[in-house]
Amino acid sequence: MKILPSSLRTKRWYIAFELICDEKIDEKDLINSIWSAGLLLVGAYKMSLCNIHVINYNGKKGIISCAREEVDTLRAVLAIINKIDNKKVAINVLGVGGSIKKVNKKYIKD
Amino acid sequence: MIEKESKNDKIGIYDCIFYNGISGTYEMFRLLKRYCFNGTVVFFDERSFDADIIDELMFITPKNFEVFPGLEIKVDSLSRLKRKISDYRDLVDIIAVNGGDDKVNRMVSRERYIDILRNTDQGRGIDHITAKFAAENGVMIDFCINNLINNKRSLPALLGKMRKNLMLIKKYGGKTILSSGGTDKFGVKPYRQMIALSKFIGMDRYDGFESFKNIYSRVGKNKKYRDGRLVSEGIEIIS
Repeated sequence: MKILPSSLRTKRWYIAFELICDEKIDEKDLINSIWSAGLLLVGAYKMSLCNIHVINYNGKKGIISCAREEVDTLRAVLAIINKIDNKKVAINVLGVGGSIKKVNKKYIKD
Repeated sequence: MIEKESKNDKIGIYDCIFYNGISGTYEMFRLLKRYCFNGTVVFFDERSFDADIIDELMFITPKNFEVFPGLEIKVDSLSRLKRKISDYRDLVDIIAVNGGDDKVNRMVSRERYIDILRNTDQGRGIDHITAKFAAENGVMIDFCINNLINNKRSLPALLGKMRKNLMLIKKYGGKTILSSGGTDKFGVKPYRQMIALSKFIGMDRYDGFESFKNIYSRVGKNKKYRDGRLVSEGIEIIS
């Protein structure tokens, strides 16, 4: 299947986040908890519009991509996550950007 | 008009947290400062309230960060409420009452010496009479993000109650407060995330920022009353 031309693709923004936790959290557990929190707060329809993908995650910081119009929804979803795998956590959004390179440079490698 | 949100601009936003030991509270101060808050109110409950602890908190406060002591009281009768107000009015900057029950909510909304009514979403919410009294007497209604995150019942029901409360407060021109209500470092949230969550209860961006600022204006007013500079609403001794 051919990929869509860039003008027809949905516009994406990249959210840099930081995990405040005393222990290490796996990427799989993080993704599961984001999805379950999202489904609880905004439901399946809104989560489908969000189009969330975890781009990278190093155990402490990471980048999530989401649809441009739903950045605030994702912020809210990340705010309500308080436990992952029975470990207390808080997810802090460091910043938002239009490209992975910029977000990486500005928020992850500082 | 909404102020700029860059780190250099001082937008004067304040949070409310709960006292959790000196080290726990200090951790929360540091996080709040990192999240670009200008200060916070630290609520004590009646058991943990101690004037020495307040002095100690002032000592560990980070630079360019303001801390105001507050007290959350739990009451079930009007006489006890009045007595507690007279006991603590001069000791703290903010007095909040843990609501939830309809009777308590109504009683507190009639009391002009109370600053904040908390946990209105825990019971059946507030009615139009309570909202009207609260607006008339300047009692601010708190919307606590911690209640939303750590709720043990249905999230849709809680959001619905909060939305109804906010609608009534807006209708009668009352003031709201948006607070994280954190008790540890995991409970403290950045203000942008709190505003994003508040959109689910019907607050827009402007309302969210105003809710962060309301607490500071009330602290200033209370300090003026205590110093004797503010005689009554609208009458102030300038020099």
